[in-house]
Amino acid sequence: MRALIRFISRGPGGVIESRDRVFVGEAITLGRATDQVLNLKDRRVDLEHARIFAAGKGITITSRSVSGVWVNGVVCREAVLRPGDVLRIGANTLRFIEPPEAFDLAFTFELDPQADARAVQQPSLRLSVAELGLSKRPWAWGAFIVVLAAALLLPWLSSPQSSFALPARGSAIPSDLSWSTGPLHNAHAMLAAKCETCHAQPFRRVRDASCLECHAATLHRHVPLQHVMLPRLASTRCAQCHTEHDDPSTLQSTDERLCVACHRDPGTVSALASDAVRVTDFGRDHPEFRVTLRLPARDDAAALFERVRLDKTAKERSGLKFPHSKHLDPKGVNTPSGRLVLECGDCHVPQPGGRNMQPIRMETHCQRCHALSFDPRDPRRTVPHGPVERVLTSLLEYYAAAYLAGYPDSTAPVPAERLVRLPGKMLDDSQRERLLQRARDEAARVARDLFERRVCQTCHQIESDSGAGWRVEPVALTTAYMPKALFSHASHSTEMTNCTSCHDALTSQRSEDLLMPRIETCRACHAGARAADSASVASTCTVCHQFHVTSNPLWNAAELQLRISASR
Amino acid sequence: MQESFLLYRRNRYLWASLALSAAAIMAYAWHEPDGPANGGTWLGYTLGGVAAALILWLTALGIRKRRYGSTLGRLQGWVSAHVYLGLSLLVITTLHCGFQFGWNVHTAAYALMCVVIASGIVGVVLYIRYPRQLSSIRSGLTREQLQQQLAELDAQSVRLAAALPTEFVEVLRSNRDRVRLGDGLWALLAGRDRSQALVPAGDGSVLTVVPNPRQTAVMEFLSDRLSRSTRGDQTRVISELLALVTARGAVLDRLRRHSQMKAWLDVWLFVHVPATLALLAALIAHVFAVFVYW
Repeated sequence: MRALIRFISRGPGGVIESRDRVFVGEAITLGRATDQVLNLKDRRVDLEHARIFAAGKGITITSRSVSGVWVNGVVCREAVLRPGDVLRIGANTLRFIEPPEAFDLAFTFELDPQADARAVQQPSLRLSVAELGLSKRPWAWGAFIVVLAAALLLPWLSSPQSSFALPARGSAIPSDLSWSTGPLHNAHAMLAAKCETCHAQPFRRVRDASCLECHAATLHRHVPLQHVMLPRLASTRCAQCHTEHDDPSTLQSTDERLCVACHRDPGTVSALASDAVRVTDFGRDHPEFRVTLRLPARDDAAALFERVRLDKTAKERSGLKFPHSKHLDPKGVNTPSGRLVLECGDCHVPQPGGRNMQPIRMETHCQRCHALSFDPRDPRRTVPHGPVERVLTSLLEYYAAAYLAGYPDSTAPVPAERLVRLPGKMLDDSQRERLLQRARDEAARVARDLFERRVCQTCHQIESDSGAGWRVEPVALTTAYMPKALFSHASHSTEMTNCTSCHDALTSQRSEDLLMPRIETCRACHAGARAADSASVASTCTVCHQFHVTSNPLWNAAELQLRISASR
Repeated sequence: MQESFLLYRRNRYLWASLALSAAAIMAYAWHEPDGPANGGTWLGYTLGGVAAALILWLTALGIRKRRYGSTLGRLQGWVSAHVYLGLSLLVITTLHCGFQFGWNVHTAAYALMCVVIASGIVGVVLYIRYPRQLSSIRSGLTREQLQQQLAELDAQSVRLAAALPTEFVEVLRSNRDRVRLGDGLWALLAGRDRSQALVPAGDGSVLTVVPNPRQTAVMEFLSDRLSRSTRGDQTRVISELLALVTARGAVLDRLRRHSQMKAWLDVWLFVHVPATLALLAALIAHVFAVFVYW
């Protein structure tokens, strides 16, 4: 058999190159094996895939491969080949053409590279996140921009401190309200949406001027206009001790270290405080209490006070004689209306609000029993509770009226001058003078009795005096013994306590006893900053003391004005 | 033997992170602020500064891992330190804020930090479990080689089917062409095989598209034809095809499980990295807000 094989290859741009080869032999073998006439490198081709030879019917192709060959699009194992037939084995195409002279058979042999590629193409599988086209970059930068806009840019635009000041607070747009680090104290709740009230300038801490806008002009009871000028506190701002945006709130700090920092050694802090006592903790290191006693003053002079430390020598000098034990006798006291058992509350009535007791008034609390009567025949008649001259005058007026009006005097001996007044007859001068003198004598006698032996003498200290005859020592009753302390009777009156829990009145026999409780009484319940056990009340300085104190030489009003103007 | 990034240098960074956390806790316990603990006390500022520096350094891992020529510590050391110090960041930041939280940008930054750390923990767990399994699935081959095997099996089966009636060719061509692994994030992560195939329906005449997960539909078809085949040569071909399809199923299964694990090893970073960038933005806003309204 003589065959012409034309190898065709298609170059770029549609150029067709061909190369002819002549085969003479018995059969053309095709396969992947290297001893085949036509060596096909296609993997899908068997080693010995097919055989073209001349048979009786004509040029025949047989295939020993299981998969056969494709002849004109049909798979077969054996076929007779004629010019025009197209044979396909793998990616190789054989087109049979009219054989030229002296040839039995001719065909073109072409390898289709695309078919080749397609033949061994891998299925397109997208098996990784990257092959799916997903990338982290856009998400990352997107997240950065979105969060920066929402957390920084938009709030800044709505802040009054920027020049934009968009009205976004309270809307769905993020505003600088989202910059708040915590809730405000209840007292400042109305400022929650007005950050600029306190935060006036960007990147500057809260200045005193912001606080004083409200607290200096109208609420000086909360913060007095004075301010401390101690060297250690000279540069302190309000906001250093009064911090906001905390939960629980520390707007009113109760931490005792604010006080103890200086009061641990007051002398080193300021020369003005060299006589202040060292204090560190109520439970362990606090001096005995001092009370502020009013001193009796003469003639409406300005009230005088003295500070007395509560020890064994402390004495009340009110000028009154008053033993508590006698009045609180469990068997009762004699009163004009019979025997009466007195209790503390009969005289000591709390003020509205329950902080201190109302002042003791003679007319309100004492006169019920200590009626200033002087004439047993008319017990409702009393002398006024006033200056000595007024008492004497009223006595004289009483007896003068009695004698001149014909008041029968059964105690006097039957007088020779006893006159029976005839109706219509008037007294003459000498009779009138005599009666008046008797009235004067009677008044003087009764006055002596009152001032020297009973009634006035019962409660007051009285000395004889050249002027009016007697002089009553002034009396000063202290209403608030501890005015610097924050103490309320209302908060201390419970089922378990009564007056005598703290005030030792039942056994007080002397007027000069000072019945205020000493520190040990309070320490029965109030421990220091840390409660010693579950039954104690943990108490820091601010439980009883105020920080901003009005009347204290350490506080200086003029300096405050300087600080206000400097901080604006 | 490769050293795990968790055990790097005898857990050096585990000890460092524990020491840092312990120091922060002790300082917090000792400190007695005036009022509740918050970020504005001196300890709050200190812990905040430490936390911010930590966040910036932790983010810098993304830069270091791309500087191949850098000799600033070994990358494995960086990763080990990144994991352990990132965990200690949770302690330090929580103490910095004094356990005070609210609806504001500051707690938002904290929440973003928690998202970053949580996704990091997920990543650590994935990287402990999956790499070994990945190697055993591939058993020495690369993914490209597995796909090449798949292609060869495809071609062989299609070529074999050419000797059989055309329905076999159609079935096996569709088995090759309608393979569907991955091709979607959720399918990839769930490891679902959504391949399909054309198989004769019911009475055997019409070819319909049916789901073909793990080659089940095609193998059923071939088994059925095998049992009904009467011609010897056809029987041989069909059983060869069955063997080929079974082998192909095994290769597909490996590709599927491999790509699933690999996808999980990639996808956690899609949370970790964007959340980190968001955290950086929130951190900038947090520091700015603190000092602009000082």
